[in-house]
Amino acid sequence: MRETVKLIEVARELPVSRKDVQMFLLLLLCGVLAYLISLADPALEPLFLALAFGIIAGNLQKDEEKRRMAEKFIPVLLPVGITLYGVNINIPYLGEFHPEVVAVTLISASLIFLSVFWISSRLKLSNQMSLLLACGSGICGVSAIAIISPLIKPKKEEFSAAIMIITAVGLTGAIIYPSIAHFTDMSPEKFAVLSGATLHQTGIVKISSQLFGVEEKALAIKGIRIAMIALIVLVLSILYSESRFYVPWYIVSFLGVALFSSTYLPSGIVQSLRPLATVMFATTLAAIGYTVSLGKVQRVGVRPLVAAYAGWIVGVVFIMLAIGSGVV
Amino acid sequence: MRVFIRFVLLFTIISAISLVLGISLVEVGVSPSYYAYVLIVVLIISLFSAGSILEPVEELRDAFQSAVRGEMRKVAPKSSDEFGELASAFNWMIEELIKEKESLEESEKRFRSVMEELDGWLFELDSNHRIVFATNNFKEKFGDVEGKYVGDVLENFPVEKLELGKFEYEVIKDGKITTVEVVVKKEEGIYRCLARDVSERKRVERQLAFFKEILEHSVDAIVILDVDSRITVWNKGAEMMFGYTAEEAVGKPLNFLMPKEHWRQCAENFKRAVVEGHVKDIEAPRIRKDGELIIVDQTLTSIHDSNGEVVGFVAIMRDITKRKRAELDLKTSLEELEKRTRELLEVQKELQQLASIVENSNDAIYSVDVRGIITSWNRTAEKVFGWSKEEAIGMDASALLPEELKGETEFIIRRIREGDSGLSFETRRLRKDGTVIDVEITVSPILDELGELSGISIIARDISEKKRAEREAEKRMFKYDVERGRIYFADNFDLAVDVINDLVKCGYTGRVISRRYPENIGVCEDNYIMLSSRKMKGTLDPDPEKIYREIMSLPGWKNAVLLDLDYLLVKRNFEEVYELIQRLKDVFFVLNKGILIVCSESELIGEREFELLKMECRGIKSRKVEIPDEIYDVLRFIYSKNKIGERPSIKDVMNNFGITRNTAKKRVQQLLDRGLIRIIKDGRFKVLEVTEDGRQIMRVA
Repeated sequence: MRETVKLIEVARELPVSRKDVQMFLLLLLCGVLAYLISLADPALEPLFLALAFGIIAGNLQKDEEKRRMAEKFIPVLLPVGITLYGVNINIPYLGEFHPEVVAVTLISASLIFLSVFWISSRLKLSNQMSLLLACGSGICGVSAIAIISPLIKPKKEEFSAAIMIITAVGLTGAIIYPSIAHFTDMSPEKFAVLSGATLHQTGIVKISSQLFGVEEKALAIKGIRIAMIALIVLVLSILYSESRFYVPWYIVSFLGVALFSSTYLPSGIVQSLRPLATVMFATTLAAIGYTVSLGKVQRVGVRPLVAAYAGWIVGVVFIMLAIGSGVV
Repeated sequence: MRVFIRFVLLFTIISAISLVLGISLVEVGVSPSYYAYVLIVVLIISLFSAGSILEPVEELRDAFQSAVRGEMRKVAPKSSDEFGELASAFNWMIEELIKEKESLEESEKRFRSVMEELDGWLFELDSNHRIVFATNNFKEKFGDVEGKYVGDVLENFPVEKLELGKFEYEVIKDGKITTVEVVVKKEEGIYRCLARDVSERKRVERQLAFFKEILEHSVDAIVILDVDSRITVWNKGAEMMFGYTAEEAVGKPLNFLMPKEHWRQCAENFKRAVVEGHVKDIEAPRIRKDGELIIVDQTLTSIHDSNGEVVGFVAIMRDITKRKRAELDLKTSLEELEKRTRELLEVQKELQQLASIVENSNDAIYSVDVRGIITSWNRTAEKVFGWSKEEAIGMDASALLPEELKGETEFIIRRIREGDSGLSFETRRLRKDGTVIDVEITVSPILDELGELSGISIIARDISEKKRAEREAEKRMFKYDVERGRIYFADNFDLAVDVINDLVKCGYTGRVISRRYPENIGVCEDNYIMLSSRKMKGTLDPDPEKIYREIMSLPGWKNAVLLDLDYLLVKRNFEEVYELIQRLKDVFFVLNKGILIVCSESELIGEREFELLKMECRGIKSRKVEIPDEIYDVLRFIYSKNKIGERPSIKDVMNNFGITRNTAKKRVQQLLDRGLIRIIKDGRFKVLEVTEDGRQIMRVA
C-alpha cells in the first residue's frame, strides 16, 4: 500500500503527465498512419500526410491546452527527427552521371530556387516563406522545408502552408507530366531527367518515372538535388545563425548521419532505420500541424501557390528547352 | 459582385484543367490513385484560394479583434471591390479610433502627469478599506500597496472619518508630528482619497495668523501697497494714527496722506526702495483725517515674489510728533537755558560791576537784614562811619544811630513792609568816634526768591556840610526862628499862618489842614485841606491815622505843614491827638520832612494838656529885622535868586510879588537907597544883585 502511494507520488513529480502521453500517442499515430499511407502510395509524402493529419486533429479538437502540450514536443522531436532523417539522404556519386545531366539538373534546381525566391519576393511574401518555397521547389520538397525550418524559424502557418503548397505543386507535376510526355513523344530517358530535375518529392518522382520504367535514373537525378540540401543547410545555418559560424548541433548531426549512411553505414541498417526516421519526422510534423490553425494557414493565400507554380514552370520550361535543344 | 466574378473565373479554370487532365490520364492510362492526387491538389488550391478570398474578410476580422484589444492597425485595401471599400471604411474607422485613442492617451498622459505632480497621494479604498488603486508616488513611498488594508500602510489612518468627506489627522514619526489632510470622495462604494502633508501649510497658516495679529494690533501704522503705490492693506494702527478707516484708505495712493510738496520725495523713496530693497528713517509730515499734521518715522520696504519681481511695498509708520515736539521743546529749553545762562553771566557781570560800583561808590552803602544786623558794608561806609568792613558786618545797625534815632531801623522796616519801596530822606548817623553826621539816605528793600523781605539796602551820603550851610541860609531867610525837622506849637492861629506863609515864600511847600475857611485864614486853596467827615475832594476825615498818612505822603523834605487841632480835639480825645503829634514828631525828626506847626486856640486844652504839648513841641519866636517887611521880602527874593546864580529884573519882582511896576520900582529904589542891592546891566536888561551889605543883613537875620 505504502509502495503504491510512493509510486503515485513519484509519478506526480514527473514532468510528463498522462495527457502528455496521450498526446504523444496521438501524434505518433498520425506519423505512423502517414508512413503507412506513404508505403501504399509513395507519391503521398508521409511528412505532408502527418502534417495534414495533425492539422485536421488539432483543428477538430481546438483545445488550446492540448496544443500547448503538442507544442512541448516540437523542440524535442524536431532535432531528433532531423538527425534521424539524415538516413533518408543518399548522397550520390556524381561520376555516375553524364556531366550535361548534372549541369542541367543543378542549373534547373538553381533556376527553380531563384525563380521561386524572386517571384515570392515580388509577391511580397516574407523572406522565410520565400526561402521555404524556394528550397522546397528547388531541392527536395517537403523534407527540405522541414529540415531548414529550424534554421530560418518561419511562422508555423507559413511552414505548414509551404509544405502543402509544395505537395500540391509536386502532385500537379505528377498528374500532368504523363500528359506532357504523351503530347511531346518524350523518350523515357528524357522524361527521367524532366521528372528528376523538376518534380519536388522523391515519392512523386518515383511514381511518375514508374510509368516509363526509368525509376532508377530519375531517382538518381533526384538524388543530386537531394544532396544539395547539405549545402543549403550549411549556408542557411551560417546566414541565419545568431552568432557567426554557428551551426546547430542537429544540423551537424543530420549532415553526419546523411554522410555516414550514404557511405559507411551498411545499407541494411540504413534501410531499417529509414522507417523509424520517417515516423519520427512525421510525428514531429504532426505535432507542428496539431498546433497550427487551419484558418491561419489558409490566410497565407494564393500568392505562395502562384510563386511555387511559376518557379516550377520556369524549371520545366528550362528542362524542356534543354531537352528540345538536344543538350540532354 | 466582383468576388462572384472571381469565383466563376476560378471555377472555369479548374474545370478546364480537370478536362485536360482527364483526357491525358485516360490517354496514358494512369492508375486511379491519380484521382486522389487531383483531389489533394484541388483541395490545397481551393484551400488557399478560399483563404485568399477570405483573407480580406479575415484580415478585417483580425483587425477588428486587434482594435478591440487596443491594437489599432489598418488593413491594406488589396482590391477595389467590396472588400476594398470595406477595408477603406475600416481604415477610416481605425483612423478615427486612433485619433480618439491618441486624444485619450494624451488626456491620460496629462492626467497621469497631473497625478504624478500632484502634491499628495491619491489612492482609492474599497468598502473594506483596502487600497484598490494608488498613484505612482504613493507606491514609490509605500511599495506595492494595492490590496492592503489602508491602516497597515498609513499608520493611525482614521477610517471612521472617511464618511466626513474631509478630515485631518496627525502622524507621529521619529518624534516629528506631521499633519495630513485627507479629502475623500465616495463613488459607488469606492473612497477616492487625496492625502496631503499640510504641516508646512499649517505652519505657514500659524505664521500668517501670527503676522496678522501683529499687523492688526501694532500701534505702528502698517500699510501694504501695490506696485502703483496704492494701499491694499490698512491696519488698525494706521486707522488710529490717521483717522481713516480701512474702507476709506484702501485703493488710494499713499500720497493722499502727505502734503503736496512731499510727493516728489515720496516718489524718490519708492525708487530707492525698489533699488535698495528698503528705505529707513524717513521722517516726514503726514496729514490726518481731521487735518492735523503729524510727523512720522517711516520705513519703506519692497516686497518681491519668488522670481525676484517687485510686487508691492510695506510702509511702516510711527507717530513721532510728540517726540519731535519734545525734541523741539528741549531745544527751545536748551536755547532758553543758554540765553538765561548768558543773561546770568551778564547779570553776574553786572553784579560784579555793580558790586564794584557799590564798593567804589562815593556813597556809603550797606545792607541790613530784618533783624537789624548789618550784612554788607562798602569801602566808603568805612570812611564815612569809621568802622571797618570786618567790624561792621554782623554788627547791629542801631549802633549807627544817635540816641534819639534808635528806633529808625525798626521804623524803616515797618515802612518798607507797609509798601513804601523807595524811601529817601535826610537823617543823622553816629560815627565810630561818637560824632553825629547828617546823611541823606535812600532805602531799598531786599527781597528773597519768594518775594519776602529779607533785608534793606541803605545808601547814605554825608551831607553834614551841606545841611549846615542850608540851615544857616534858611535861618537867615526865615522870618521866624524855626528849624527843619522840628515840630512847633502856636496858640495863635494868625502867627501860625504867618510862619507857614513865610516858609512858602522861602520855597517850602505849604500845607494847611484846618476846619477854618482858607479865605479867613489867608492861604491859597491849593495848599488847603478841609477837615471834614464828608468825603469830598479837598477834604480830610478828622481821623489821626488819616491825617498822619496825609502828612507822611507829602513829598520831599521842604514841607511846611500847619495842623489845626481845634476841630480834631472836638472829634477825638486829647490822647489820640497827642499820640498823633508824637508820631508826627518822630517822622519829622527822623525823616527831616520839613516843619510842622500845630495850632490850637481852643479852650478844650487844659493846663496839663498844654504843658504836654509844650513838652513835645517848640514855641515860635519872631526875628528882629530893621527894614519893613515888604522891603525885606524883596531883598530876600533877590538874595535867594542870587544864591542860585540868577539875577532877577524888576519885572521878575513884579511878577513874584504880584505888585505894580511902580510899587516894585519904589521898593527896589528903597533897597538901592540903603545900598543893599545894585543894578547891573546884563546886555540890554537891567538886573538886580545883593550887595555885600545886603548879604550881611541876610546873614544876621
